Amino acid sequence: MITQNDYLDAVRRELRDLDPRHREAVLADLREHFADAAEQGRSTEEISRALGTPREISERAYEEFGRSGSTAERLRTVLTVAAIVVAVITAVFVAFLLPSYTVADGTGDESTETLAAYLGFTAALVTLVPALVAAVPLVVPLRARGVTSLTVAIVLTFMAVVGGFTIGGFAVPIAMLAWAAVVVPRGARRGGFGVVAHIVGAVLVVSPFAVLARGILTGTVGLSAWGIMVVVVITALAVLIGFGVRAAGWLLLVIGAAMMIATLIFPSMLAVALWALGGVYVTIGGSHALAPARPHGSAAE
Amino acid sequence: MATTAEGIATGIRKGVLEFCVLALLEERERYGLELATELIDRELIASEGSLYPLLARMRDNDLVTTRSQPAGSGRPRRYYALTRAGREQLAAFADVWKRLGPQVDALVEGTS
Repeated sequence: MITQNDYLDAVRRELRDLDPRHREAVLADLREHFADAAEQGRSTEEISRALGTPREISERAYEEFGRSGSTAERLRTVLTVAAIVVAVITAVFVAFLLPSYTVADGTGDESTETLAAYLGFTAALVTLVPALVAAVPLVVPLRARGVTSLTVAIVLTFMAVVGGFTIGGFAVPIAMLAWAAVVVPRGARRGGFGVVAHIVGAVLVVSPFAVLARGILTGTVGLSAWGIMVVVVITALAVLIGFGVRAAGWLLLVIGAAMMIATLIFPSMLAVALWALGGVYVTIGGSHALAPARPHGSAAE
Repeated sequence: MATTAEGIATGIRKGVLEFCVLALLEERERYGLELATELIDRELIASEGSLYPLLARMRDNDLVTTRSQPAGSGRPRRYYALTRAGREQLAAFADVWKRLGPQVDALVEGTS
């Protein structure tokens, strides 16, 4: 025997590619329809039969609105492409620009060479593997993209951890973006991100300062006026993100991208840290700027 | 030729359903079940459920608006009403139909 909840769940599943706002509107009307019809003495069975199949309702809905499941999938595409772009830049940087091999020439002098110069061009191509992995979700059939994204995020995280022992945290931004390509579409399907997600994002943005704070307290790190300003600006952006202000996401994205570009232009001792931190800001800022939000204070149904 | 007749009816219904909903709401505000029952009785929809995606889209286009009013049992009930844009849309349709309807009638008259 079909219950009202069975029926509504089936409709919700059929409507998964509809904009969440419209999906909830249709479901709310159907819930009322059930209640009103039941008051007239119709059985659940009769009501569901008269309503038609969930598939009929969803077909009508897609005729009216089009399939915007696409909203979620478009977000996944954007974030996946971002991961690929960052992965390619990382590969070029690590292989051709970063002096990472110390070579002793036998006369007592030492020089540092890049990976490509030391191991050869073909070996340097190996650095492109993360970019290839990151691209996989774009070539699988639509229905397999969700699972593929998750698998890719796990694989890239593994690679970032393993790579961390050799070339440092250069793969961190790629893994971060891959995770965003899993989480953001999921949130979009569920009707947008609420206050909890925004606070988590805000905490992630300021979390790197925890390391800094310890250094300052123990006196090993001193902040210049410039450094203090950066901390203040980032913290302010984190607070705004916590409140769901979209523009703060864009600004953080720009700051993160600037940090990554600066790393490429002026490789320094801090390159890896700056690159990884920039990647964190790009990912959280970009996700926050693009992801649909649920208005704060309204509970999800 | 039942399938042909059904196919023709489906096509025409699709074109006019939106305006029939507007006309029903012009009479008075109605709630979902009321509209669905009325449209089924007039053979304008085949199943009640297909009304709700249409209503959602019409509300999104600002042709109709909703209002919560307590029903008999005290449960708030969602009533649909016309907006100004909805009224204008209905008037525009009425104009078209008044010109087109008689033409179609004149053409098919005596055919059967």
